[in-house]
Amino acid sequence: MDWDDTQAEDRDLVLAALSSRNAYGAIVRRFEAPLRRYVRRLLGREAASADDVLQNAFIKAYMNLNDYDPLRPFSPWIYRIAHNEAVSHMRKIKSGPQPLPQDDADAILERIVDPDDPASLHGRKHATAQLRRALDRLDPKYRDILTLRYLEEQSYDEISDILQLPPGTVATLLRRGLQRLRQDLEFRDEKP
Amino acid sequence: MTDFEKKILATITKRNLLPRPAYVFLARRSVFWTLAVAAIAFGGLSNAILLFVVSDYFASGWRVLDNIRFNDYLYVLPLLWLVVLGLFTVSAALALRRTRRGFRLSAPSLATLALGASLLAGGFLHGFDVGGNLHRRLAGWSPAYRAFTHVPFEEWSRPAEGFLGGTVVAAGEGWITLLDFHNRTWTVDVSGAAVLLDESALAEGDIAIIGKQTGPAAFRADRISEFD
Repeated sequence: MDWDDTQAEDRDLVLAALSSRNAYGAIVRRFEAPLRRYVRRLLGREAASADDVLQNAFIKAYMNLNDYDPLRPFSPWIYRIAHNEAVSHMRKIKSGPQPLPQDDADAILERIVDPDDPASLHGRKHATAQLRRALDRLDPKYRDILTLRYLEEQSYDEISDILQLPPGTVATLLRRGLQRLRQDLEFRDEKP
Repeated sequence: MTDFEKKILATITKRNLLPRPAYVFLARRSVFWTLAVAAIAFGGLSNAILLFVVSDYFASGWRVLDNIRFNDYLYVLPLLWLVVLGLFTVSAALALRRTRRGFRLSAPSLATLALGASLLAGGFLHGFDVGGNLHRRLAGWSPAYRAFTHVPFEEWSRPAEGFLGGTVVAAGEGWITLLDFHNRTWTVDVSGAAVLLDESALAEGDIAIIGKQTGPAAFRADRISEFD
């Protein structure tokens, strides 16, 4: 008989999974979609491997369930495992930084343009293409933060837990990442 | 149940996987905590010795402060222990960084925390003369240690053990009056002593005497050398 887990807290699901293997299915069900999307974003052109990476991430999470600190939210914990798994997969296949899909570039553009400034919205299509190229050029440490903040909509605290960085460093990297992105876009605009 | 969920559960069942026991993670975390606590304890010890050597230098008589130069301050600081304190502060910060929530603190905060804990531990140990005891033991045991560290006044404030140091305040035929580093006055019989220093140092400057205590304020010198 399936346990109705839709209303359960993440930590209750973890407790249940520790006592019953089948209860782990509820965790997989809850995090499969967001983690698949996140892993695909990290893998870029290698997105075909997303299922394998995700499967390894879920199995590692299961094996390490006792390492989860019930006093902290569960989501950043499992995101961290997926993040590490994707990064180690990229390292294994010796693949460099991956380009972001068009939709993701659009989503980031939404966040960095000033909605009250008509000039900033001018030529938006052109801007999205430029932004994608600028994101490709951006240092991965900034891209990871921008992805987590603007595409995965994680809070500073959650990003801090996922990337294991102090929250202050997360804020600094986010600010610098946006700054560099803007500088890059302005520089390209000014170029004849 | 989604296909992916089925696949994950099937893999877990097929490989007969189980969550690793909690004690494995507890042991792993306790390694880092133990390293951090040990590093702070060693940092505390080095700080206790630093406190001992510096306080001993000044406690031996504020009289020397009038003439002290910046170089003397540098000289009296046991650099060896400053380096040790620095190394253990870094080690403690690195170990704390690896604890469950250590990553949430920035590197400067971790270093400040580790240093602060070492200083507190050092102050506490200094209160029980742990630094002084360790320093004396090391100095007694290792000539290399003695060569690297400043000889404290306390070493020459043990008349019952035959070590007396201080400033000559008066001198006569075969005797001197000595003001020791705790401002006590001694009459010292120097008639049979080997004097290993310039005679003028007897009239001014600090001297170190090896000999035997012969009374509550009397001492017989066997060997007299310059205090350094």
